[in-house]
Amino acid sequence: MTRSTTVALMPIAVLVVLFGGWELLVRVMAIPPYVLPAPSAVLAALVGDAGILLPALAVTLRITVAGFVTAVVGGIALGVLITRSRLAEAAFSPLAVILQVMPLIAIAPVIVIYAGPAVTVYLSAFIVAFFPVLAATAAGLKAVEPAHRDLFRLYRARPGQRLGWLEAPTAVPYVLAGVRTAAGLSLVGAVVAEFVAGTGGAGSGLAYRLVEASYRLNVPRLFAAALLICLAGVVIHAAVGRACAALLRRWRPQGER
Amino acid sequence: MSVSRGPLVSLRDVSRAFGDRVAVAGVDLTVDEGEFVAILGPSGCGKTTVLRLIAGLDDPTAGTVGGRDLGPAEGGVAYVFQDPTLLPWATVFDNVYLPLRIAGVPRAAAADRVRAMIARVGLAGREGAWPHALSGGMRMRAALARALVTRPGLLLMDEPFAALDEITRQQLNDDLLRMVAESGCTVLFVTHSVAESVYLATRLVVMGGVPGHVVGELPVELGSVRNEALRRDPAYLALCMRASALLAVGMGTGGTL
Ligand SMILES: Nc1ncnc2c1ncn2[C@@H]1O[C@H](COP(=O)(O)OP(=O)(O)OP(=O)(O)O)[C@@H](O)[C@H]1O
Ligand SMILES: [Mg+2]
Repeated sequence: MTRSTTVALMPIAVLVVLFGGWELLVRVMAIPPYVLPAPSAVLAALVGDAGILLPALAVTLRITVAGFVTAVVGGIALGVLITRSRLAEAAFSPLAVILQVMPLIAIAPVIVIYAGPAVTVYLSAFIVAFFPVLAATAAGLKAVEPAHRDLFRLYRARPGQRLGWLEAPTAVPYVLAGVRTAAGLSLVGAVVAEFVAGTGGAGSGLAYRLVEASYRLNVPRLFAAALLICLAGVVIHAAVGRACAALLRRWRPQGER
Repeated sequence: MSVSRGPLVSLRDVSRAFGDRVAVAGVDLTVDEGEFVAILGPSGCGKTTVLRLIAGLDDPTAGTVGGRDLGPAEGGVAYVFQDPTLLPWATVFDNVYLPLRIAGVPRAAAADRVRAMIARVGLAGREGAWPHALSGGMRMRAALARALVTRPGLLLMDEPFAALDEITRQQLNDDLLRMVAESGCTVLFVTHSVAESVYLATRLVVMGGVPGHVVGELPVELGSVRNEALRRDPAYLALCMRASALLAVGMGTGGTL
């Protein structure tokens, strides 16, 4: 077995041991499912409650993706704006910092009063994803090498040329790193907001179903919902990570800087 | 050289201080059209500072930096930095095209000229290569092509080949002399090397001291044919010795002239 296949199989082995041990523990100790469901019981709940859980997952994912995408666009746009002038930076920076340091769990109940649950979940996903993109964009646009800056000054490049051909290309790896961080965070933001603001009925998200299951002591379903959230997070993380890596390779074929 | 239009570069009693650290003080320097002036001096004596002042990348704290306003594009000022400073996200072609692109020359209109310049510096066939895939010498050749593609009237070079091995350096020096002869541009060439300065230049300007200033000048009357045979020419060797003596004055280690 080569080293790389060993490395690839390692996480699987760990998971197998972990879940195998868990299953064994529950069976041997005869732990009731409302205390700790065995992995097999969680899987059974996942399949049996798919009619409830999957539509809820779709709701949560739709809002997460909407929050994430608008946060990326908005973060890049504001990042460009605040690096154009000192005035713009002074005007927007405090706002951005307030957004970042405000605990989401504390403002979600406030937002929900004015905006309703769906918008609250969307705004939460947006807010948490927005700041990493904004910060990375601003840092990246300022990371131009002095020698390159001199080159553009020497040839008297216009501000637009400098932004498009020097600052933006310099910022690409930074922005992509910010986007990767934002992807995982946007799901967390949506889930947290659903805890506070989630509603029942057709439009309810996965985290709301999780809370609901916990109230009803339907512990296997609670675990199944948590598992789905985890899986969604892993998939989002991997998909965005791969997309970013591919973009970076196209941008700079040597890979890293 | 056209007296009516005055010198290309004229520094009068120029000083530049960084905070309370005076880098250069009382520098007088004139460069006429068609000259190949080598600035020779020990590390830290302010050679780069002087070049940046001439390029307009920096402003003097006292004195005047004058001469003709050459502008950035056709017939203007070009600068070869101590490092190649190629844009890592752009191919050789795009790096060489950059000054013309900034000047607003459309890609299609510039393509032939860019290719011809890449061929002249010996990089034909490497137009699509990325900077990281080039050797140090090839990167410097690409930087040279970028500087020459605008057909500059004044070429400023800051120890361009200092980081290269002796053989590559000699090749590049010969290529440089050939291209300068073809284009007729004026050159200001900073170097640490006495041999290199005498080999290339029509006039030496020796700098030294703390703060840096011009300690002496030396016309190099060796004619326009510069080749290997010149290195054994007694006149060449005599000039090298006189330049070394001047340099010793600049470094404060040697006697008088
Ligand atoms: N941006 C700066 N800030 C502060 N000090 C500077 C700056 N640039 C240059 N100096 C100082 O000015 C002096 C001259 O520097 P300069 O780079 O012009 O020397 P140099 O002759 O080009 O040296 P080298 O041959 O090593 O390249 C040095 O003492 C340096 O520390
Ligand atoms: Mg220097």
